Parts: sequence; C-alpha cells; structure tokens
Amino acid sequence: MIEIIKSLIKEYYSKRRIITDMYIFKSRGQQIINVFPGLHAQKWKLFLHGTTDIPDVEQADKILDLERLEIAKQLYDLALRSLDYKQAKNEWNRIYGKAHISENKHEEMVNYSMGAFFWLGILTPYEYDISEPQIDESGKLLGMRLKPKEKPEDILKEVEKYVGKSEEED
Amino acid sequence: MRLNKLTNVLVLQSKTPHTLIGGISGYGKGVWAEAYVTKHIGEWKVFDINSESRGEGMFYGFKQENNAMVERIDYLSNGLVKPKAYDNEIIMFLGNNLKKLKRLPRNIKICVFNEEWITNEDLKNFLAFNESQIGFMDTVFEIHDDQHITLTEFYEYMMRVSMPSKERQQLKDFGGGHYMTINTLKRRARSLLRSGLFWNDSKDIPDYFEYLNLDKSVRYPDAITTYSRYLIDNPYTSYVCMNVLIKKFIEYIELRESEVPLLFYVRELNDFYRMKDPPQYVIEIQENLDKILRKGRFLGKSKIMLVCDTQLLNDIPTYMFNSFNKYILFRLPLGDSKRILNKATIPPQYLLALSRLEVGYYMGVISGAFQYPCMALPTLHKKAEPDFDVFEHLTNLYGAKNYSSSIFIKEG
Repeated sequence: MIEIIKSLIKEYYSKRRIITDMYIFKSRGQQIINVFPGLHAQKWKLFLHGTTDIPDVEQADKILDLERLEIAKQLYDLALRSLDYKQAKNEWNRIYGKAHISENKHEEMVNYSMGAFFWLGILTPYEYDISEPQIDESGKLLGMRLKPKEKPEDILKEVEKYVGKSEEED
Repeated sequence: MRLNKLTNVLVLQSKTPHTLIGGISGYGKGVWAEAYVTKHIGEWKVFDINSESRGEGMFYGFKQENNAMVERIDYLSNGLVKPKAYDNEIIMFLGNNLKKLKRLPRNIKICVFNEEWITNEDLKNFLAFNESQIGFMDTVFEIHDDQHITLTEFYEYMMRVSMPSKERQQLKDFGGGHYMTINTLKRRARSLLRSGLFWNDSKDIPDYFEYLNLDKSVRYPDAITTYSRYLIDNPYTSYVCMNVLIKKFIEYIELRESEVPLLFYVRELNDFYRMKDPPQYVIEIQENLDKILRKGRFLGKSKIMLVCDTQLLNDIPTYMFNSFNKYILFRLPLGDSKRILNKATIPPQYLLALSRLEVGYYMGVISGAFQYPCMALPTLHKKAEPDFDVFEHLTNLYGAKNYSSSIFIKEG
C-alpha cells in the first residue's frame, strides 16, 4: 500500500509542462546520451487549430491538470480509507482545521491527504536504512548486515526504453 | 535524519565459538572484539590476556563518551543500547618498568609467579635454546636425581659451577660443563630472576605484590580481567610471562577446578607467530592456544572460547587459521583476504570490496557462509584513544599507590 501511495505522489509531482527527451546512441564504441527539453504539447502533437507546428500549451495544461486531479482523487480516497481504518478522521480534521475539501481542486486534496499520511505515520520525512541484526548461537549480537538499497528504478527504466534490458537483468 | 529499520534477527550458528578477527590497523577489529567479548561478561568469565603498552585492556571501566561512537550505537540499535562501564580487574605482571614509574593507580594489582609452579621442563624451555644447552640442563637434572629445581636454585647452582667447586667437579664427571654454556644459562637465569616475574621476597608479598590467583578471578565473572605486561621491559621476559600464564590457565581448566565458562580474548595473535624460528617458550604458547582451539567447545569441565584478532590473516599459520569457524574481516589487502576462500565460496568482487572497506564495516564468515556488508556496533565502554592517558585517569579515580619502598625497587 505504501508503495502505491508513494508512486501516486511521485506521479503527481512529476506532471510538468516541460519534459525531457533522452536520446541514446552509440558512436565509435561509446554510448552517448543526449537529453533535450521539450513541451508536452509538442510531444503529444497537440498543435493550435489550423497549424502543424505551434504547440497548444493551454490544452496540454488542461490535460495535465485533469491528470493531477485524477491522481489527487486517488490519494484522497486512500487517505480517507486510512483515516477510517484508524478511526481518526475526526481528529485529523480537527488538527487539519478544514473539514471540507473540494473534490475539484487537486491541491486541496493532495495537501489534506499528504498531511494525513504523515500524521498517521504512513509516510515519514526520515531517510531509512534497513539492516538485519545478526546474533551468534548464544544470542550475542555480532553486528548489523546492511540490506541493499533500492535501485533508482525510474532512471533505469527510462534508459531501458532505449537500450533494452541487459542480459544479466533478464 | 537517518533512521535504521531493523528486520528480523538472523541467527548464525556455529558449533565451536572460537572467533578470528582480521583487519589492518585502525579499521575496527579491536572495537568489534571488545564489544563482542564484553557481551559475555556475567555469563562467561572474560580474560583479556594480551594487553601491552597501549593499555587497551584498561578502558573497560569507563563508559563510551566518543560522540561519533555514541551516535552510531544509537543509530544501529534504534536507541535501545546505551553506553556502559564494566567492572574491570586489572592485573599487571611485575617488571622493571615499575622502577621507572614507581607509582601506579591503586586499582591495578601487580602479580608475580611462584617459582614453585615452574617445572624442570619449563625451566629448560625458558633457558636452553640449543641442543648443547638442553643437554647441559638435562645433565644438571640428572645430577639432582630429577628433583624439582627452582629458578633461584638453578641460578645458585650455576654460580657454584662457574667457579672451582665440588659441584663443578661433579658436573665434569658427568661430562658437562663448557664455560660458554654455563655462562649463557647463568645469564638467562639471572635476567629472569631480575625481571621481577618470579619475585619472591616475603616482605613485598603480599604488601606490594601478590601471586597470580586464577581461581580468585574466575570466581568473579561479573568483571572482565585484564592481564597486562606493560611493566615488563623486554620481549624475552614478556613471552615467558605469557607462556606461564597460558600454562596456568590450561592447568587450571584441566584440573577441573571450575565450571565457569571461560572466554579468552587475545589481541594481536600474530605476536606469537611472527618469529621465523621461534624458541621453545614461544612454541609452547602456540601449542597451548592450538590446544584450546582443537578441544573445541570445552576443556575439563569448562566451556571455553577463544577470540583472537590479527592484522593480517597470513600472519597466522594454516593449522591455526583453519581451526576457527567464525571469521570477522575488516579491511584487508586482496592477497591476504584470499585465504578466507578456504572457508567459504566468496565471489572475487567481494574480496576486492573488502580491501576498500570503510572503518567499522566488515564481512562475517560463519560456518562457511559469508555476510556482507555488515556494520559493527561500537564498544559500549570507552575505547583506547591516543590523547587519553588511562593511567592518569585511573589515578584520579582510585588514587595512586607508591611502590618506592618495595624491596624490588630499593634493591634495583
């Protein structure tokens, strides 16, 4: 569940007007990665009526906002369910200080939901390491084995689109 | 802010508890070893038996105060473990350095060995280093009908045979007595007698010094006992001291005098293996350590555990290295760490990583399985630091005892 919440939040904050395009090609045995900024509207080929090269930024913004709203509704729904489960909705509303949240404003829903997730302890601003305590046969602590950190999968996936998965990972 | 999430505890089983810690200087082997052995205090009687000039074994009585260490303890244990001090019985063996120091903290006991504990064979190992000297000593024992001869008696006898006397004539009749052999043995006996290790002046004992009493220490398992050879001023006497100490322990255990489990922590195990052609008194130390390892879990009635550390794995002979089943490896050069491949299958990149490990990180190899990367929990007690004078601190706490009036110092 936490992973879903995290991915929704990440998705919400990654909706931008400007996106980057990555081009990877090989030249003389070297791999070259070029990154170019571009407009969403251009990427979607959303041009002003009657033109074939002027991006319709306004329409693209509307689509991005609808996307944000959709994600915010999902987050809001998860927050309400979590609060209900913990029977803490009333208390959180009191702390938050605003009982009515407009379901047409994604900013309001996201603020309310993220506040609730932090307050419930589902999300945390702290950075975690994970380690495994190891003891010997008589129960004496030997030390802590550090568990591997998560891979920056988003970056890897972005690169994979262009270069394909390596054999090792398959 | 970083927090450490702890997963389920993993138990790493080993039939034999003996542990070897490897790592070049300054990367955490001493910290790990001290932290590990102190966890046994109370259940096991813990002895720190190779504390030398730096006085590392005298810090157990102080709480950890180093901020970085305290923070790491807090971080690794999620605040569950707090710094702690332990009862520390510090025993120093009498040596000529006391003549320079004259005063020592009052909580430090100075011990000596009783000459009566040394058998004729021991005496031969301490004094005779070649066939000619061994033959000579056997002749002396033969003349005395194999009766027990103490170091003092032997020295007095050597004094008599080094000048015209009936003893000298008798020795000649037995076919022995080259003057070089006599002088060499006499000189070695004198140097041992003057070292203070076998000091037996009845006025000094028990006012200033006492005979080593293992039983008394074993009966108090809530304290860690540190044996220090700081007062001994030369390597020869230091090795003889270690020889007698380990021999007394083996004797104590084999005679089934106690059922208390015993844990021996030997710092710098390589101290006993660095000589290319070791004399018999060093070989005996090696044999006794090997004996403990090979006996496995118990000797006599006591469970026994050996925790040793060494800078390099290659400093330890193969038979000794292979007898351990638990290895804790801090930063080690690649050529050295390859030796652990005898005990576990480890991909080469891990060994490469081992040569670049940061302070406090280690690889554990227990019962043929390796764990990497692991982080050591620092000692809960204070760890030796170069700018912390432990003698001064102990003196401030317990006061100082002045040894100037002892016969040992007056005569010296």
